[in-house]
Amino acid sequence: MDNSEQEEKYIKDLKDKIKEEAKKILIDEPADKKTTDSYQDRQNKNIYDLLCAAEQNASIGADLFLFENRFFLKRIIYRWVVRFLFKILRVITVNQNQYNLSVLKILQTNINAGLDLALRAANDKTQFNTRLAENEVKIKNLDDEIYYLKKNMDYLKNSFMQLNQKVDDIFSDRGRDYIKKPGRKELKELKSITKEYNSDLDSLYVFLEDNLRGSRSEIKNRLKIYLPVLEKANVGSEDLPILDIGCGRGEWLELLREKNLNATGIDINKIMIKTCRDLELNVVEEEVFSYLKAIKDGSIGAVTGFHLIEHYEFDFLVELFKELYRVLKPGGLVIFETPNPDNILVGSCTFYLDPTHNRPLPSLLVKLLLEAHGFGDVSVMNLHPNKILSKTEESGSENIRILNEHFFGPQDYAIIGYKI
Amino acid sequence: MKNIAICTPEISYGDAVSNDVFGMYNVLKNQNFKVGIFAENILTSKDTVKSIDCIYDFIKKRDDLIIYHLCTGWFKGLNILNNLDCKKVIKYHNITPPDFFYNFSGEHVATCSGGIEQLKVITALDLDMYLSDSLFNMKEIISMGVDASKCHVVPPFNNIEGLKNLKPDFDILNKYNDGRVNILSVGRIVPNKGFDKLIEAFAFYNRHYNPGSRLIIVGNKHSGLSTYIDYLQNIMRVLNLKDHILFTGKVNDEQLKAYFLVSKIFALISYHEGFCVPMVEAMSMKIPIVAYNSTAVSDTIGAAGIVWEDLDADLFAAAFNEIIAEEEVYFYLGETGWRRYRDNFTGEIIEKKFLSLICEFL
Repeated sequence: MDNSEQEEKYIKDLKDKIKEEAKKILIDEPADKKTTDSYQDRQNKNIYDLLCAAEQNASIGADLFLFENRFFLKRIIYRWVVRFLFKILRVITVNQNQYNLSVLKILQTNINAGLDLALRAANDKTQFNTRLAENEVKIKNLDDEIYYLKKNMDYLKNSFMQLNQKVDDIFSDRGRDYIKKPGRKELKELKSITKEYNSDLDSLYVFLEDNLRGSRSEIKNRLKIYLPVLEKANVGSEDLPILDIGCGRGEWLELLREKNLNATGIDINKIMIKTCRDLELNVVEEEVFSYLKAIKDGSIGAVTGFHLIEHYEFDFLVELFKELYRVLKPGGLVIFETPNPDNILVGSCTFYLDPTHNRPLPSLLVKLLLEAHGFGDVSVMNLHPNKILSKTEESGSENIRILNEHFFGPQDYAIIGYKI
Repeated sequence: MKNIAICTPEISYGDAVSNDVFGMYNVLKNQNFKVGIFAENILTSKDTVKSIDCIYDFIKKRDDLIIYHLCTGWFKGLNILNNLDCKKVIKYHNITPPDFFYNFSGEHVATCSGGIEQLKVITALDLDMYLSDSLFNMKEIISMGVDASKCHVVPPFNNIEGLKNLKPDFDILNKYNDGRVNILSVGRIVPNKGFDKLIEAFAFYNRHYNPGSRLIIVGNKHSGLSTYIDYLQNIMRVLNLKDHILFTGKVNDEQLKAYFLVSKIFALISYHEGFCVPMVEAMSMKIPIVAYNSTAVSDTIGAAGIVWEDLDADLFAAAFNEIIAEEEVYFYLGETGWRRYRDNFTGEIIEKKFLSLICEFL
């Protein structure tokens, strides 16, 4: 990721965080704060103040003060004069006062109605925000549900595809011939055809791989580690092609193609083969021994198999190594990556996440097996230490170091051997 | 020797277009060209600026060059473009659409409408080259029919290096470095700058996050836009923010620098920008920017600030809070802004770009 991409990502994450915070403020705000402290209320207060002042002013003329602090005679005269004036004033202003007060009352009623509306709107807004948040959670849950439904649908679709193919093949010309002539031999062959498709497990395996192995780009990244080994051995040309046994979704083949290396993949899983063909990768749907049978001695540069050998029975493995030694050119190599049972968690648990695994293979066993078949310069490459768990502090203790190795050490290893 | 005339309707102190004009002048002068600045309204004492009427004595040969700064309607300028027979380059700074002024000033509506009309004429003239401040401006010109191969983006020359070497105004530093959080916005007080929305966003921040905060708006108030000023004052009164918002009016460079230095965030919620030099000034001073993504804003800021697509006051307020509350975010944004300035908008970079394009006429 270059600098500008990093910057954009940082800003995007930051904006998401800020959006969340802003939402919280809008939702969490207590209702009483809204009604007592808002700008609207400060404004309301101003309106009320103005109304009070207006009310006081409106009453002017209703109560005039009397002149109490004058001398007795003057007071009597003033009182008479003022009372007289006052009566006249009252006659003049009484209607005005009533009018003023009525207008004020109307105003006050309207303002109260407005305030009620504002208050209701504020409450509605809070409710709306809460509902919005609730709906967002619901939408998120629905999204998750859709995701899993989609996954299941893919799985069902694959199964259906296979079933369809099976039916097609059975009723194809080949199948029909057998059905027309149901001799013992033919029936046996028909059985073998149908057995070929007795692979409902194919789609299950794809499903498991999709969920357990990792994304395409992750796998491709992990496999890059082997490119220098191939480069050093100078294989991958037209004359010395690379064979990938159990090519699966074809990540490794794709990587080799990107490096302009000549490679062929073989697999027996129809769905995997289809995926590879969609990517225009060079793949053959064939069982390994039948494929190798057709290969000349010393004609292959390298054979690779990632998470393959642990699926095989021991005698199958012995046969395979023998056959590989034959087809490899002198100086050619094999690379096999497999789960590392030296790591106790792998050996006791994660290895068995894949129900098609046969048995864990300690690196020493595979190394000896290769050497027994004539391979030389056999080395073990430890891979993928457990980074999720943190190691126990070693502080010089040998026992703890060993325990750490067994619990947090490499989860996979690769074995590399050369035909000398 | 070719003569080069740089024309602009008005030249003044601290104005972005004027800074671009002086920047071009200095660069060409340093290359030993015979350059002159010609303007109709001259509001500066610099004797390098001559009246536009003198241009006919200066540009005489077909090989001479006019660099015409297009930022508003200017009939005298249009006449010059039509009458003089020489090489002609336009520097387009953008013309604000008149719609923003309908409620506030008939005079501005007329000027902007005139500008838009003249833009149509000038783009139809098929001149030698059209330079634009931003990609946004360039796209606008191309959409009006100008041949894209004649269009280029050259950011406007700025006065940031000068600002950096200047001592800030200490009175302002002392007064506003008072522990309160200052949020700064810089720009003429005109409706397209969206100060109404900025005040609203600040109100939200002030209310929900930081009651002690202060909004400083640095910019010239135009006498013909008193209705707009009243409108902003009303918003402030209604939101009860009179004690929290400062309109500085026009300031000099020392004061401007001081306002930048006392501020924690540069906020821009402008509805229409052709480039926005103050944003680059903020970047150069490592001040985090929060902006609204309109027109040329994202061209200028890139990924060096928080840019919102929506005009939600609460988002702006939350962004202010995040920057103030998280030291790491504050420094990160400051640093990326500074890097963007260093890589795109220094005098040296703009000079290089300008000369490489203009050299074909020299």
